[in-house]
Amino acid sequence: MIVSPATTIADLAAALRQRDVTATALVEECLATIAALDETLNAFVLVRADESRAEARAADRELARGEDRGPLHGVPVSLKDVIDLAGAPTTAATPVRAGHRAAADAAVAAHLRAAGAVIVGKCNLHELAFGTTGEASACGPTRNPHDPRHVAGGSSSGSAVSVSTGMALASVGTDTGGSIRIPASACGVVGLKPAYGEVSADGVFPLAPSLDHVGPIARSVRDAETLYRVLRGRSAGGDASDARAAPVQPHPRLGVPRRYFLDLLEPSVEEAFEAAVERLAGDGCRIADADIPHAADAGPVYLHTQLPEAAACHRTLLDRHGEDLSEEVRLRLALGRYVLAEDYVRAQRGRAVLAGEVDTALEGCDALLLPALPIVPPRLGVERIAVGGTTEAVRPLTLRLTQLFDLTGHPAIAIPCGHAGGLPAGLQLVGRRDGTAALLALAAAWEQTIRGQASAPENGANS
Amino acid sequence: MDLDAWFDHARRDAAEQGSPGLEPLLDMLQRATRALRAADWTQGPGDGGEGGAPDARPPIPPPGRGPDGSR
Repeated sequence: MIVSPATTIADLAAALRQRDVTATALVEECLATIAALDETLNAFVLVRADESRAEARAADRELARGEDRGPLHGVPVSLKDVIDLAGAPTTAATPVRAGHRAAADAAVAAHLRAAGAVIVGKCNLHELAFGTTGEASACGPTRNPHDPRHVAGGSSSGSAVSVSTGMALASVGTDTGGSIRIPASACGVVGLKPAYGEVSADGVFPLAPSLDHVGPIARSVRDAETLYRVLRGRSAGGDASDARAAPVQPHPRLGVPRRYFLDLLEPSVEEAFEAAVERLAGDGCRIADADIPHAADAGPVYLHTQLPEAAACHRTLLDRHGEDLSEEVRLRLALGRYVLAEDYVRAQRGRAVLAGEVDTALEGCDALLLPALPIVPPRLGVERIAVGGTTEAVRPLTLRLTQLFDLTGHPAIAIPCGHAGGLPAGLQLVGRRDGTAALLALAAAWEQTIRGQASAPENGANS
Repeated sequence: MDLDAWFDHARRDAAEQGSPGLEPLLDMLQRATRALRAADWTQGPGDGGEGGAPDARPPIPPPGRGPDGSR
């Protein structure tokens, strides 16, 4: 077995160059893992077995000739199936796009290919990336590798599962309200939403364009950093990264925005988060209170931005093929048509206020520190959850701690911080709008403290 | 437009289109719209008929695509 729960891309890159392992062997192992687990977990829409084997052989030949494309050369990765790959369908997990074939690679896919990555397949998602559980999909629901009775989180559900289980070493997802960070947290892996616009969305099937972010899901912060650089087209030389060049404070100040963000948490999630905060404080971080005065208004602002943008994006699809969509996705798309223009404008003013407030909160600290998901990933089919003395719908609960930073464009990273209710729990670090590299450097420096004990599934779906 | 009148219209429209499933979502959206309009940032010039354009500057650099996905 080449890939253990602790294996990083850096480990593999070294092993590939020392000829201790080949890209071909790596891909075979990923394909074998897919064959063993994916009937249960349903992470993949398309497995590129023949193509990935050919790409791996090409990578092995290049490395043998001394042609080195950088740290992803020969490394198997997966793509959320909203990302165009020339010649392959981009289904967005909806039957409406059956028969689609991408004419060209998305910008991020082209960057990955140029970096020598081996694309092992395209991953399942919540239909149209319009949901947070990964349940509604033309390909069936994705299941949590730590307990297949539970959701994997969404919408980049298959991406997170593929990374968590070793079906791929990393993946590329999208995040409109939390769709990278939510499944990363639910599956016990790292998910980075870069600052808005840093990674190109060209060739990526949109949901709500002013909110859509493209970013990596990976097994470690360093792996996420490697993907982040490649996705931006910065990796070719494989030299010192922006993040490594960024100075890291020996005793960083982390602001915890307790009001709103810690008001509605399942007890086991709160326990995991507070334990991580204690570990960070014990290891030298300075923990401070932070405040985002209008945080509780983020939900209405998000709804009045995301719903009309999604309705506008997919108006033709809704008019011509609405009956083919899952009921929940069709209804939410249709709902966007009832948002008044004046309320969309109000929401944009709200975004500006919220962005200023997050900027202000970050003036006094190096990063904000908060949970990623307020609840334990629910069982499939559960629509409402009792939490904090009330019963709430799953969708707004899952978006509650992540959507603000899609509205404001600040970079945010989800990192495993232990377990809650027997499933992974994650926390978020949020950085300055121009500070993704600094955020990654901070996150990498404190990752082991945040994690406490390892959270990778030992036996995947076989447990 | 008056919020309640708008959502009454929306519910009738949804019913005529044979989408009864929209009704609870419209109820949720109506509550959210009420909250959005009640937020104190909406009390500046341009909201009370006092003149002046609302400040709707985007909080982040202009996206490569418009809100409807256009380029």
